[in-house]
Amino acid sequence: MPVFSTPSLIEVGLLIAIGLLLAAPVGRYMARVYLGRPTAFDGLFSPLERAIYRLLGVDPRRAMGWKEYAANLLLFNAAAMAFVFVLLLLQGPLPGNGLRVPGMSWDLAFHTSASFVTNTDFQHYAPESQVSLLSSLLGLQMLMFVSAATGLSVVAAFIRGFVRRDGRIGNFWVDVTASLVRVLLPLSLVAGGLFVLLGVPDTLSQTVLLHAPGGGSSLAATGPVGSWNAIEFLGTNGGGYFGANAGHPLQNPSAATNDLAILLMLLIPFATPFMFGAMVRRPTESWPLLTTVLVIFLVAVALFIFFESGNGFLTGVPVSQGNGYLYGAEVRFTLPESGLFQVASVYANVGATSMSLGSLTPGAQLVLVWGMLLQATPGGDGTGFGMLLMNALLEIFVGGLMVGRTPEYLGKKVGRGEIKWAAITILSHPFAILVPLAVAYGIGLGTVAQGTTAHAFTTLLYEFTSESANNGSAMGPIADTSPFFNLAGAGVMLFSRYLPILAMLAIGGSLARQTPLPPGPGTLKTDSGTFTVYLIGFILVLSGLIFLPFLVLGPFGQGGL
Amino acid sequence: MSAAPTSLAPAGGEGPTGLVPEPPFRPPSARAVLGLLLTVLLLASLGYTGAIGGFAHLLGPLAPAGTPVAPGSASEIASELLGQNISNASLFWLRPSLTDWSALSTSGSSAYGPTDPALLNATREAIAHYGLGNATVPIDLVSPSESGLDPDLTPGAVLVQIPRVAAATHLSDGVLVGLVDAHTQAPALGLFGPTYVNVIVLDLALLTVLGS
Repeated sequence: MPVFSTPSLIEVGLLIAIGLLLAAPVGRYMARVYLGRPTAFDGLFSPLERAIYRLLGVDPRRAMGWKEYAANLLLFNAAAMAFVFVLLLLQGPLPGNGLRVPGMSWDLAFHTSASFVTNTDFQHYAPESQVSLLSSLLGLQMLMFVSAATGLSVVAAFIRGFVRRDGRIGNFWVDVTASLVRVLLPLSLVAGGLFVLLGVPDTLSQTVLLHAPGGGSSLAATGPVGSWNAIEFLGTNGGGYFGANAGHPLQNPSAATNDLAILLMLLIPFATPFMFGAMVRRPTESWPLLTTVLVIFLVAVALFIFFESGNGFLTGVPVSQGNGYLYGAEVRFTLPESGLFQVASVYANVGATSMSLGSLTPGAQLVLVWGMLLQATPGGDGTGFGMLLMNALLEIFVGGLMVGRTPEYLGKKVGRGEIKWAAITILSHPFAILVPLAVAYGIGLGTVAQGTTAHAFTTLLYEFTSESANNGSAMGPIADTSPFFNLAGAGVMLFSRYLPILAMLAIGGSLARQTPLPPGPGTLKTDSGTFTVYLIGFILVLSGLIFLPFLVLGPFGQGGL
Repeated sequence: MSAAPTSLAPAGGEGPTGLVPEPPFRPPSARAVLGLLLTVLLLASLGYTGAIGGFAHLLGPLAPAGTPVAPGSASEIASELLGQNISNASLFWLRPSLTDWSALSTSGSSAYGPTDPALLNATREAIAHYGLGNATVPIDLVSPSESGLDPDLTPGAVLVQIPRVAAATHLSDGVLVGLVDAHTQAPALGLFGPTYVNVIVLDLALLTVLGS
């Protein structure tokens, strides 16, 4: 089958290999950043950081307990969200609005600001006609940096729980400043420059006039797309500059920009396991976690491409699908290129789309939904790895009980407090998806997406799953501009972002109060192959047990699997 | 193996008494919150966008519209990146667009689900629209793209249109096949991207042939 051709296999393998080769040094660099160790770029970044600390009036040497860390994080995120909420409401008369976009309705502004501050970037609006250039730059792009920096800070603080023994997990202002100054801005500058070199527009003009061959002309929207792209993908944000997102020819004009986007989406999520190993000073501890991520991710990529290689339902119509089921895909990418992009985007909780998700084959839809149920293979910047650590803690606890060993991870005991927070986090995901889904059907909104078919159910299930996973991709079309979907969606995104963040900080804070135990004969080896296989099975079984009934009603119910 | 979990832990290292106390809580300061918000606006919104935009500006004033393929006055640009509504019978056509080729709003297109019975009829209607009665049609020609702006087709989806174009232009099949072959792009380095035809570029070349 040409879909699985040798060049495609080489390309996919090459991209994963390059991704890992870049992730290893980036992860070790991030570990030095979050441990406050010297790096090669201190001469450049340290003066800027000191100026920022003076402006903020904070003492960078003061480490915080988890509650203080969390309070600062929540307050800063709330302030950033409130700023953007007001900006979107008032954008009509404000400057930087060449296309005379009106102010957003309050429920849409609430959904949009919640969506971008939670790293979800679910878009209930049409970017070209409902967001001004000013709102885009000062509002949404600012939140894309803030949300990615917040995620990185959280995972750094969480990991410090394994390293520190004074009950403190770091200083939020130092972490978020370092995330911006030392990680996100430099990498975005490089990536944005590359996008521009590869032909992505970056201009403050908002439209350009086009003349079609053979007559007719039309206006096309454009803008600072190259700089937007870099943080959209690197920050695992995923909100499109255009409504069509990464399928839009100006956002993603070629296979080269597509592959660059894939590398950016995977860079920080793949780097975080390396950062973890370096921060806890046991590099071999990276491998079970990275292997778990890679095994599940690569199986998902293979299954997705396999399911999309043809739609068996289209029999009796004289069409050939030799290049795969290209319905809703773009011809300038091979199916494996589109597929790797789409799986990377959903599994890293980016949520950018380069294919119409609603017209994917049922099997491919199932692959994507499952990635959002896991949230951790690799998941979004920072928080994805935090979710993986939560799963590992639960695994260690359950495994410890089964074989009668002390449940401990890296010398820190996994006790009742840690497990309580981890269990609440894992269970909050189905809660946040299924309760609003049931309410939507209960108040008669279940039929907004094309009747009462399994496809319509899948569309609604996907909507809330995507919001709860802070993913942001949509299967559309659903009447999701109604106040119910805006308010319920915003509630789901905020709940499912900040509850796990609180849990990660609380566990980090609790672990940081322990003095590490020396390894003994009863210690579970957590850098072994057994542990890895067990972790993969544990994650898949746990998500399957929670969600299978709903997958049967949705993707399975469409048939064709 | 059978020992109780706690019995294996070294004495005195665990339990509530072994924990350091929770550190003191200092309430957040408004100055830090507002200061960082200002910092992010300056660095991530203005400084960063200005740097990338400045770089793009240095590279060339035409870059923002995508590579221009039809020289002329400043506004006379057809972008090879953006598909547009081509309905002239003498030219090769693009895929159906769910957004009616709008490059000012690309949201909210509603494609058919994979097992929707309406999908079969819509596909048959598309085949009829392209005047391709009995031929086997590559799926890309008769299905919408994600963006509604796809300027490309697979070579098969271009070649299958040759009878219609030949009838309208009175060019021979051989000339048209040669033109399509000349505009068929192979994967870069044999690895990246599909074998495909940019129909905007192909049609501009066809117009040149017809004009001469």
